[in-house]
Amino acid sequence: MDNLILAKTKSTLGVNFNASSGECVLEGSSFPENTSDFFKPVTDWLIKYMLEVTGKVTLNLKFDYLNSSSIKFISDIADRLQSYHNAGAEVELKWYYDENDEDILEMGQELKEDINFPFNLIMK
Amino acid sequence: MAELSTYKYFYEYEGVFSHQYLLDINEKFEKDLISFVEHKVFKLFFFCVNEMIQNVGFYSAEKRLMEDSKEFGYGSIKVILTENTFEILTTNLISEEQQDKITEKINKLNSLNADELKGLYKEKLRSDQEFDSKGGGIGFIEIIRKTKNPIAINFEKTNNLIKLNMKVVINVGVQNG
Repeated sequence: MDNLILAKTKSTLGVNFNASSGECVLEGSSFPENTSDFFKPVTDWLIKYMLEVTGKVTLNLKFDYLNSSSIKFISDIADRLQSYHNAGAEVELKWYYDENDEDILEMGQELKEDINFPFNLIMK
Repeated sequence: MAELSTYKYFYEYEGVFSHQYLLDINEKFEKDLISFVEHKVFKLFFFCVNEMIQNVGFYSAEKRLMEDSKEFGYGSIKVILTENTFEILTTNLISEEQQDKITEKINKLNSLNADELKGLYKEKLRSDQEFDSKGGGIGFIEIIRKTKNPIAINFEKTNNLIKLNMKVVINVGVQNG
């Protein structure tokens, strides 16, 4: 299975998903022109990895800004990881935030409330 | 509305709310405003203004076709910074059917308390996207939750369509100097 690498732009996240290690990184700001078009290959890659590779997933999220529709897609990814974890897989989520960025911290805290796999809030 | 000279910052635009406009105006706001307001207030402003611009771009009943064959909504926006508040005002045309939906939706959201808004936010996060929503249906909820202020709307009749005026207010802690 190939890695998924997308360069960061002003309005879309940088993506670096590694099929060998399961280390996955999303970073930057997200307010795409079409949110579904951006997140579809990201979600599809994760689904394929969980079905075919069946290895550990470590999702590293390093956001500067997410618009409301992007938040929904991130929540959907977290739910898919929860199902993967429930099925016995090893899953870890690392949510990074800047010391003075309460907004991103609160977003992570609220997502964590509904997750019961290892979810770490990490100050950058 | 006060005299322009009493504002700490004023911006207005009427035109197409394309994705390129959003990219350009974000750069301008960052450059113009970062020295006026605290970082956390700027982040809140950035969230609200992006949601409102994308809302006009997606849902205005008046569309314009761009050179790349993409279609975007037409409308207007004003940003006003005073000592105590940021005001973001947008205007765009909508249909009568949209008027009823928007009125019902905003009135409901404005009536909810913080816990109810959080509950609805979580419910919407996990629901299928609303059939006519490109924003996942949580943009207005998040604006009210984050600003802790209601969204103000009013309507003006123009020919066969209706002009929607929307205002979001952010309370500001203006830095000295």
